[in-house]
Amino acid sequence: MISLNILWAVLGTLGFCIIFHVPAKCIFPAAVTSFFAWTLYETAIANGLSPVMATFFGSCAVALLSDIFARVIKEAATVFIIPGILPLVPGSGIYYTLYYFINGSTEFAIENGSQTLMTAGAISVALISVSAGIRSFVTIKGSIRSLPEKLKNR
Amino acid sequence: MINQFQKKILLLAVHAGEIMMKSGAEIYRVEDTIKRICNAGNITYVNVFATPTGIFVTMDEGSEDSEVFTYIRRIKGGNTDLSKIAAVNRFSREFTSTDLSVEEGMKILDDISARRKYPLVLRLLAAAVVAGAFCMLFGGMPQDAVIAMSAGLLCYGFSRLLDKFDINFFIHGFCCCFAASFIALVAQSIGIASQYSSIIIGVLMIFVPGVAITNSLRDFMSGDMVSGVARLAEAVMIAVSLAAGAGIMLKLWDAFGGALI
Repeated sequence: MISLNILWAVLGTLGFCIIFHVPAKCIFPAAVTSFFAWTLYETAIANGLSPVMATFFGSCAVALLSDIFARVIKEAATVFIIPGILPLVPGSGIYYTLYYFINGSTEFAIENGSQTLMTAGAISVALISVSAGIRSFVTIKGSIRSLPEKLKNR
Repeated sequence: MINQFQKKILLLAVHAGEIMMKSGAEIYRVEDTIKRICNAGNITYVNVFATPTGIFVTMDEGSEDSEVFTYIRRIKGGNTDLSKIAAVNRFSREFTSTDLSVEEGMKILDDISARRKYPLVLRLLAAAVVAGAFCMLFGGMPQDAVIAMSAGLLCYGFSRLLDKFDINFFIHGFCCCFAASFIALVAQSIGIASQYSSIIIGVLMIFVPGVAITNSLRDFMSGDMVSGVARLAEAVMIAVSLAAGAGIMLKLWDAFGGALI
């Protein structure tokens, strides 16, 4: 069942690539990004983590891989992030929140609503922390590389 | 006396920025591109303030008798098109490294702006695939996925049609989800679908504001707070419109006891 879910997620990403006009040479990397993200998500769920945490790990994979692909292919990172992240966006959460509200079970609705917000929050924290991490890594690497020259100039 | 060259460079830069912003680029990328193009035209002082709804540029050649130019471009609407972002990005690099004339540059930008990478038919099929795949992912049966595919195709086509008439984005999301729920409920009531929920979720995923969320976060990260908040608000409004569309349809269906057909 796990492998099938990954297939559906990758198919969804491929569809979004076409809808959002992703350049042809970037479609395969975007699919790879989505594959690893969803594999991580499923593994996390299978190991008993909550969907929020699983989404966090999945989004981390998207952010990291997108940045790597962006550097390798020399394309904007958004091209990979947007189709990759979409399968993790809590669309079902939006739906079930309202579904329970309409059926009058406010308790379930609030539970689902907060879960949806948490999931969206997990995506944001993952994207932000990974890109902040990469930025500081690149800066530190740059300053270490230029260190010998600076010492020499002294 | 207006410096014609300076004016042309300014128009070119703002045009490039407008295409990028409409296609869903991050703020810092738009600002960077405008700055880079202006610098390539030997304009030393350039300041750009870009938001999702408008671009403001001020520039000065830096000589004694030069004037300060300011330009405001209001931006409305737009469609996510990642290949345009990539194309303008490449163009700006090309423009700075080679001696392309401003007129040629303007022509290239017009070409980029008019281009549609994938034809509508392909995108309709892609929307069907997206709806079907997410229907399966959220626990649908194969027959639900088939209905989700046709519903996704119809709703995406419908949304393109609404786009032609410049419909407000809230009404846009609302109508699309309303139609999707209607199709799902009809399919359930005539007995060809096992559960309408996964069909609705599948179609809803096509319209989920993933682009707005991602861009708002990236804007926050690079310190563009105004745009970050604006795009976050956009994402919330789209989510609300989707929920309202599906919700009102479900409620109506309940109220009439499925007697609408």
